[in-house]
Amino acid sequence: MITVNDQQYEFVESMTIAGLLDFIKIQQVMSTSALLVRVNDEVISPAAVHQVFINDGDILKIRNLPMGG
Amino acid sequence: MWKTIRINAKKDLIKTEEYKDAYMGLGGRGLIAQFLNDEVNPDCDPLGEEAKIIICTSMFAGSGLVCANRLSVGAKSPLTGGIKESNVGGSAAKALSDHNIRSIIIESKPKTDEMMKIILIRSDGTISLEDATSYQGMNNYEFVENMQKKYSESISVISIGVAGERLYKNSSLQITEYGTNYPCRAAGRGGLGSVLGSKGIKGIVIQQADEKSKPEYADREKFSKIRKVLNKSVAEASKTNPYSLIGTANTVDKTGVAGIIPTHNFTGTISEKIENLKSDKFMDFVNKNGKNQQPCQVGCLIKCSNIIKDNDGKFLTGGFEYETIALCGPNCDIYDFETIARMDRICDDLGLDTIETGASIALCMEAEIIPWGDANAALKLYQQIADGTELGNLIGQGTVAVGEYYKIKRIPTCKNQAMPGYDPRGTIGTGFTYATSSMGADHTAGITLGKDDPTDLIGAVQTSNIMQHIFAMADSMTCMMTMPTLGGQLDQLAELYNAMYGGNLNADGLFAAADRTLKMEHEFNKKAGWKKEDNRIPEFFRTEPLPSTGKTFDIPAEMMEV
Repeated sequence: MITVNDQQYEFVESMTIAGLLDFIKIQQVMSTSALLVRVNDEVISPAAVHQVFINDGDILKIRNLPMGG
Repeated sequence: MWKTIRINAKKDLIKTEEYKDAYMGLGGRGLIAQFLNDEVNPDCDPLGEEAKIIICTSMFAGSGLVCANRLSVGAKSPLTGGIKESNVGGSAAKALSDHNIRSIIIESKPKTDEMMKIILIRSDGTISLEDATSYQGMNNYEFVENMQKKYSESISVISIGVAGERLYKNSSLQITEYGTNYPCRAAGRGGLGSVLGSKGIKGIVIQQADEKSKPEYADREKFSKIRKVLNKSVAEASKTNPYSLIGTANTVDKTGVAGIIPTHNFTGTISEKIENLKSDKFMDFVNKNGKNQQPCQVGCLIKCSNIIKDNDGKFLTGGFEYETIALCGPNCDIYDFETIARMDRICDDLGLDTIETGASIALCMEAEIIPWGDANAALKLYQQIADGTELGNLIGQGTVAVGEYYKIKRIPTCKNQAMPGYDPRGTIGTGFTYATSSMGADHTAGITLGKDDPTDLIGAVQTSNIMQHIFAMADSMTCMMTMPTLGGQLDQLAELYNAMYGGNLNADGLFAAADRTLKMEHEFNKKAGWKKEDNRIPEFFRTEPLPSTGKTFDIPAEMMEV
């Protein structure tokens, strides 16, 4: 299992973080895939999400990309 | 192929250069970082002979990518003493792109007794320097009106008001807005208006190109396909995005309640009057005579701008933004939109940064020059700036100048630049950005604000670092307001880049390009004399708890020496 913002999801082999975020967006848990992601307390850049794979047991915290003006 | 226009202000020479191969694929902030490192001595006097100012478009200007018609202004900042890129919308970037111009470089300096000039880019592409003697001392709205009468209603104008002419360190460049054609868009931060003023240039007037140039593409079909998907995603997100539905003023709803909006010179004291500035009141105000959901540039699908009209129905101001509201409003204990909108108009007209001005006026209140919250007294201070009185001239030199003159201990600046609308005690990651960014205290350098803004030190620092890269990326290619959508599609943005410029960039490569930009900026600043130990948050943020949370800014000084 993996944990995303305290919700548990089934672990899927060979899924990148970007893939997971798209899945979460489709599930309408979040309205965008433009997110800041912390995996096991390490902030992952929005570029690296396309390369980094999810591991079983990962704990993710995600939030909308901050903006203001 | 893009062109570069190089102007020697001493010799009145205009040279058209082919765009350097080495600069291919660079635009906006990335181009500025490279250019300043290549051509400007970091140790120079920002207003002197050696200094140069560059005005350029984003890497995707003219391509039809959402919000990509951005203009960047770059120079060594007379305010911070470091590199500065100030990013702005408006109609000028598209107009330059239609003339196939990627950048205008202005170098050298006229003899002091020479009169000011206008750079005129005619519809047929010819460029000349025109006498601006009769416009000297004129402010932006009147100047633009004169230029429109002389050169056509449809021109785009980049100009300075008296603030830039007087070389105020708090002076902006103003850009005409798409649609309204009023000079209400500001390249506000860092005092770059004074750099243009030091070159003896009153403004740049761009007539619409007779034949609109189209960007060259490595793969036009691929570009169009990806652009369509990206634009659609932003348009879709805009349907529920508060920045679209209301404007940046919606931020008050979050920062006001949380006590993060600066009040009473960054004491953080929450007033019940903050209710006057919330979104519902803003919508009442803006829709009384004007409108929101105004695009500031061609191709904007977010439309976070607005048109504010006075009680007589006449245009008062546009681009009435959160930062202006926060600094000119609650930070001075002023809580009514009408007064703040008038202040915004004055700043745009004189060519002043509203953030720096609001912070400086608050220090005048702290020094008991005028009472706290006295809107009329504050407006009289704005008039003093317009009149160029001794006090007005002092305020024009920025917040640190005012604070030091009146011996005020609580001066809310980093690298001599006033903090924008987020108290660093309420968003420590943003505070880390203020202190460590190459731009000084600047919200467009990377804020971490929002739900789940990290309060742990490591998380805050890591988030700041990521956001500093994201903003560097945005400032090179499109408006930062698109990033809450496009930021999740960096792989597609990289493919878009490849379709325009060729190559095999991926999302990581885009991020690496942003990293190179940041490193070049820091390199410039290091040579300009910035030191790691200058990465400081003013001490009062460490000793005075924010009333809403009881927390101080607690990132240790040594963690900021990066």
